[in-house]
Amino acid sequence: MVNFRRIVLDNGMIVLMHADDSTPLAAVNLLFRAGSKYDPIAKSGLAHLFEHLMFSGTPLVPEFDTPIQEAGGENNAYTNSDYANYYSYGPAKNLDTLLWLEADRMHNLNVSQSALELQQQVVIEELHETCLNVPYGDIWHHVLPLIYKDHPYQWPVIGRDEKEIGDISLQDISAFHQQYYQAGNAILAIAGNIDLDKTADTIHQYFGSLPGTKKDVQTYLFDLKGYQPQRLGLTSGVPVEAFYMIFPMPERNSQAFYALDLFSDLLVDGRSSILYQNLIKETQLLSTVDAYITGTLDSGLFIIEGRLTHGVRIEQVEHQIWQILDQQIGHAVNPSTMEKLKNNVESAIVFSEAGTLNKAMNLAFFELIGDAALINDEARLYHEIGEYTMREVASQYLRPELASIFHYVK
Amino acid sequence: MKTALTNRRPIIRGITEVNFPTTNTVILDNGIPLHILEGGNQSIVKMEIAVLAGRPREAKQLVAASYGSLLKEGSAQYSSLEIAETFDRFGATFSQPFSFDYVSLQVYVLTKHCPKILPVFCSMIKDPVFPESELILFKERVKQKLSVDLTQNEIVAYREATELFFGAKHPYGYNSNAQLYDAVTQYDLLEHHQNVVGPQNTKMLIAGKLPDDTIDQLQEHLGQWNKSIRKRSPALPQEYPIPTRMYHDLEKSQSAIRIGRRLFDNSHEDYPAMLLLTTILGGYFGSRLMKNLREDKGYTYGVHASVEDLKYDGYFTINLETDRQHCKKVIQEIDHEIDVLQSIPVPADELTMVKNYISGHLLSKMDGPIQAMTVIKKNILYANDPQHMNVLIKKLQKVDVNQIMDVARKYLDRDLLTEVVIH
Repeated sequence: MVNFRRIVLDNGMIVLMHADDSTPLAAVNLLFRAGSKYDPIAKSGLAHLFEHLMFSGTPLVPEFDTPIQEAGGENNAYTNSDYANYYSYGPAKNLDTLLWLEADRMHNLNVSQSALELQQQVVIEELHETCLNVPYGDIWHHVLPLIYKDHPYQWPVIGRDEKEIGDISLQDISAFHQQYYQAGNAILAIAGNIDLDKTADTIHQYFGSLPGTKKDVQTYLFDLKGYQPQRLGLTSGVPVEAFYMIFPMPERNSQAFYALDLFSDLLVDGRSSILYQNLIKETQLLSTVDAYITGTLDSGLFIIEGRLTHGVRIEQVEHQIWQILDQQIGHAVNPSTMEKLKNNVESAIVFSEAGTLNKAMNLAFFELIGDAALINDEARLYHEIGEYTMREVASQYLRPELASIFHYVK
Repeated sequence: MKTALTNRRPIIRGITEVNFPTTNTVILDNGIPLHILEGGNQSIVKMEIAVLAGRPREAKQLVAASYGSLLKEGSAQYSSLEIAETFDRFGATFSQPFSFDYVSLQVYVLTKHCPKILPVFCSMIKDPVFPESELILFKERVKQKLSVDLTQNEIVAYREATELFFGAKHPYGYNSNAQLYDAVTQYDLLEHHQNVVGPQNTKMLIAGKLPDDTIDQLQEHLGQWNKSIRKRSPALPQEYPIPTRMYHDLEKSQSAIRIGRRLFDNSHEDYPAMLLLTTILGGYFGSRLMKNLREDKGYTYGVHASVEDLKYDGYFTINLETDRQHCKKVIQEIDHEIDVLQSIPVPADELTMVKNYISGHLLSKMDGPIQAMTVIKKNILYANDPQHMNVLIKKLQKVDVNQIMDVARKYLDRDLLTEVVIH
């Protein structure tokens, strides 16, 4: 149970606070609805590049990291397709510094042409290091444009390519800042050894007078009726063949999300799972296997992926997976297996709340998807999915006519 | 707004001390110490069984790693599937942290399910059987993974560098390859168990909220394990390889660079100063190399320098990737930053900040017993001194700018550093 206080500032900023006197730390998590789905057309990668630029300093704080390091703290940030998330943590006695730094850069960010060009170069280097120079690292650059035809999830968060990242101008950055880095578009979560009243006062002081317009949130959903599955062979010179079997699925805020998440656990959670035992241990068609969902706010993906044992053909793997899916969807799951799935979910939720920073991050995330109180409700939502519902939902989405196959050939 | 924020700039409070919690130690009947850090406000437990039976104690290369990995593939009481099913059924997460020195089994579990997994967890280290069929499967999987790893220049650079730091015969230096895996037999694994693994060199680390009867249960499932080991002292060649420069062309557009050297273990008198020096050079986001190569020139996504602790040794390394066209310039800049550290004293405020950063970094791990154990573990497994981290923090505070310059001159002389470039 994570107890928290929720306040809304006059400018629309939502604030969530959780007090825990068993830790010497405090964590600050500031989330903006400013993920890559808000990138302008042909300027993909802007949201992520912007996150880099948030560290380039302000007139008051020329180097963002210096005061945090002096305060004995750590900080970082990440961007995904839905939001950008900034976090810092450190000794609770320096909480004010962490908050002040966030307020300062939110309002006074001052990006120069040279800072922009430099971070464009860093991000292009990041693209090389994490996507292009790593076996299978370019998978999403191939998958997303073919699956998300009419949806901004069609480009990877880092950007489509060097050109689009390089084309982003100072005007684009400034417009993005004004549009999305508003108090009304932000969720601030604080956890740790804090006094709730005092912290609320500090937050009012630092963030209360920032401008805030709330952005309307658009939701994009797949139209399954017109959905065209894709099949693509990839020749990126990988050492071991690999496949990705990809199905469209509903958005994060749907019952289907919980059902399909459980179903992916049924397939591959742990070494006793059916996919591991069948494909790696018994038939030995694969050397690695995984199944997971992307969990995006808008329509997501259900993915089964693996690497083929030397000499095995992709058709054999597909055939075997369809047999397993038919078997799992078509036959009641026994109660002990359901109990195992529920135990796993309970365990995952409890461990995800271990740590002060995790609590702050989770609070902000659940507020983003609708209500911070979901943090204490997730276990119940999973628990309510019965074995029949789980299979029923799986049968709707994990169908051959919806399956796209991406195959790295050697 | 600007003035409002300016006026309200908070005062940063320095970190004067870090209080590490102390573990309780309980000794089982057979002498295995349980190092326990109890508490936290969540009903979760993390347990680790660590046996000093890693590379320095293997009779043949890759036996220790293969041994460790196959512990989960069957014991006298439970098959591979039964072991997996037990962990999965109770939502327990089993893993094996990588270490050259220890064979480790680790599990995260909810307190209420802890009693149900303990018998299985303990049986894995007491009575492993290493089925031949599992060994064959293991070799296929690991060789396939290796073939993927060897296409990544960053991994190739790491492998080449550690081999050059310690030598191809040294347990910390040699590299895995398909032939070595093929040569590992079931007999080797049983022999390793017979001769090197026993209560005498096993320790257990426990953190979190424990069920009431955990000690009794461990007494039953682990404390009655009696077997002697043939004391196999660590095999550690003493000769230091000559510093080398190695360039491999794999026709990649990116260069992976590793620069470093063999150092010493963490009891060495220069360890605290070397840790600070390395942090200043490349150990955190605001480090000199990060500022120079990423934030000033945009040559890399990230550059890291670190001092790596091993049980009987240690090494210093700088690593990064960059576009091939910048490779030469990057190495020149690294040389330049080392030169500066050898010739110009570090400004006092920079040194203070790095000391604060390290203390804060450690303090930030004191976030519940499970996190705290990741730090305290060093005292128990690598230093044999329950006060090691406390002493280290105090020693770090005393290091002055002259000592930083001294160790920079003593250990980072360019002729003493090995350089590996894979591109």
